[in-house]
Amino acid sequence: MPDPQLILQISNLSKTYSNGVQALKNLSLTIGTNMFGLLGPNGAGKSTLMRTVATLQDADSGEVSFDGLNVLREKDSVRRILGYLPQEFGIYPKMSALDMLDHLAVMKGILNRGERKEMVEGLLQQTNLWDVRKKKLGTFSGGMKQRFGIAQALLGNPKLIIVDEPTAGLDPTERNRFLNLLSSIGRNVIVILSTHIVDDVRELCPQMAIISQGEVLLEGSPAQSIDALGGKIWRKMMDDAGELADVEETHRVISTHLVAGLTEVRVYADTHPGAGFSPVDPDIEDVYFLNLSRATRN
Amino acid sequence: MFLHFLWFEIKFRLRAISTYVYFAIWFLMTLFAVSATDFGPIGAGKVLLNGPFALAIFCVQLTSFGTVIISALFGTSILRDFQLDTYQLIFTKPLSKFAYLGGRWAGSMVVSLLIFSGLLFGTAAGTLMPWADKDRMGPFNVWFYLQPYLTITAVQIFFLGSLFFLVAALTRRIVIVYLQGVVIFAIYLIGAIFVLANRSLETFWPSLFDPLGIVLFNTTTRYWTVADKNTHLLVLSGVFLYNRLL
Repeated sequence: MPDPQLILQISNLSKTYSNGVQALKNLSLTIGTNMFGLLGPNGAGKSTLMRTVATLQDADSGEVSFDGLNVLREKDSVRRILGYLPQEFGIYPKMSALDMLDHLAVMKGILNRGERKEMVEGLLQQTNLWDVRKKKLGTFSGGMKQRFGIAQALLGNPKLIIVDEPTAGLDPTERNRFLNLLSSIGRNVIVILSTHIVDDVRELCPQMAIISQGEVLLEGSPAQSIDALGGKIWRKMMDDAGELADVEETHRVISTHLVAGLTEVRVYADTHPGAGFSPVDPDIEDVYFLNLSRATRN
Repeated sequence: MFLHFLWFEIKFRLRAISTYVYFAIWFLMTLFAVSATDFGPIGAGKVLLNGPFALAIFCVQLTSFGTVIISALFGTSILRDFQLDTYQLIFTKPLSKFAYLGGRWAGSMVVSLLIFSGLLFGTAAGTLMPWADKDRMGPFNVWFYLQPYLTITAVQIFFLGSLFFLVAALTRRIVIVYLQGVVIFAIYLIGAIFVLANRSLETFWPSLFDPLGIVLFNTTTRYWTVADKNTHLLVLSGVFLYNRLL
């Protein structure tokens, strides 16, 4: 259950772009404190949703409220308590991390010099950028830039933190470090992690939602969603493309993986689907792919 | 917050090589205009190369050519966050529009004034060059430098800069920013040549609305003698005053 302290309520949000793409279709979500995973394929409407909540763009209809604020109208008040890490962002390449973070802190409204210095230095240490604080941002690696991004998102102790696809393009070490950093942010604020990488959600988020084509497919805790599939996921190893095509005809295939040259097929079935299949413990990826395949069927 | 943005803009520009290149261009142009007569607009004759007429004409001509630079400075200051894709970081902060826009505008203004001051330093340095024609140098007079700089160059930067800043803020297109400087300068040049070439003595109206000051300058100084050119400043009166007020 969402923590009652802070609630982000998204109600009936719709957005159609001028090119006719309907990015959000009457979407509603309730998000409480702690980490919330927003999972969906590329183009599902995640970024549109994140940008709308982050006051960067307007919706056609619908409401968003947070902590008594009307997010779509009271943008300035929201921006005071918002931390946003965009999916892609630029930096001033000739400026040092320290200088740019300080500049952004002023924009955040931290005008007291001593307070600002303390906060900027604290964040640079927390994000492990202290040793490179005087280096030009243009020389930063992808992971360092992403950590700088989270540092600027944490300016001013935000209560609502939105990180949009933060781990895309990071190597495994950088990704781990980044996820550890995210999980250390604290349990008393809302952190929305939007991603298409299922593992991000599994590792970090007690609550999640899966969205696709502008609609919520599933809302709940990863653990419960996995439990609901108990005994219904089966796998079979095969090396023959013809056999795979047959299985796809007759079963509800939710995913196929290559494992050491063989194809592992996972199917969804209430009862044993036939010879060669063995039961497996479901994981979050099964939840994700099953929901996506349901959505495309309908 | 406004002052912070102002300082930030200035510091940001001082880190850019282009700032120094622009300054150097202005410095060298006037340095050679003064120290080598063939290079400059005054040419042979008896007009002092560092007199008020010479300085005023440097200010008028170079500031006109500088239209492109003014547009690059003011335009990019407003478009930077879109070019560098930092706008998403910045527009999710509770900043005031006045501080953000005003600070960047004022910062660009200060930096432009610094860059264009290169023509003053260039002139001053030009008089000291060993190969300069010492017979055509008047005594150094600070006011001869500052007066045209303030009434011509500074005013020009203010108006054109504000115009370019506004256009950039409304269009948010970098191409337009660079084009507008070139286009305005080209249209202007064609218009000015047309006005000057038809030899009409009725140049009051064209002078009045002349945004860059070449026609105006011509009108005002047409009947000046060499002595006038060596001693008179452009007085803020008559058509010159009206134009500047516009």
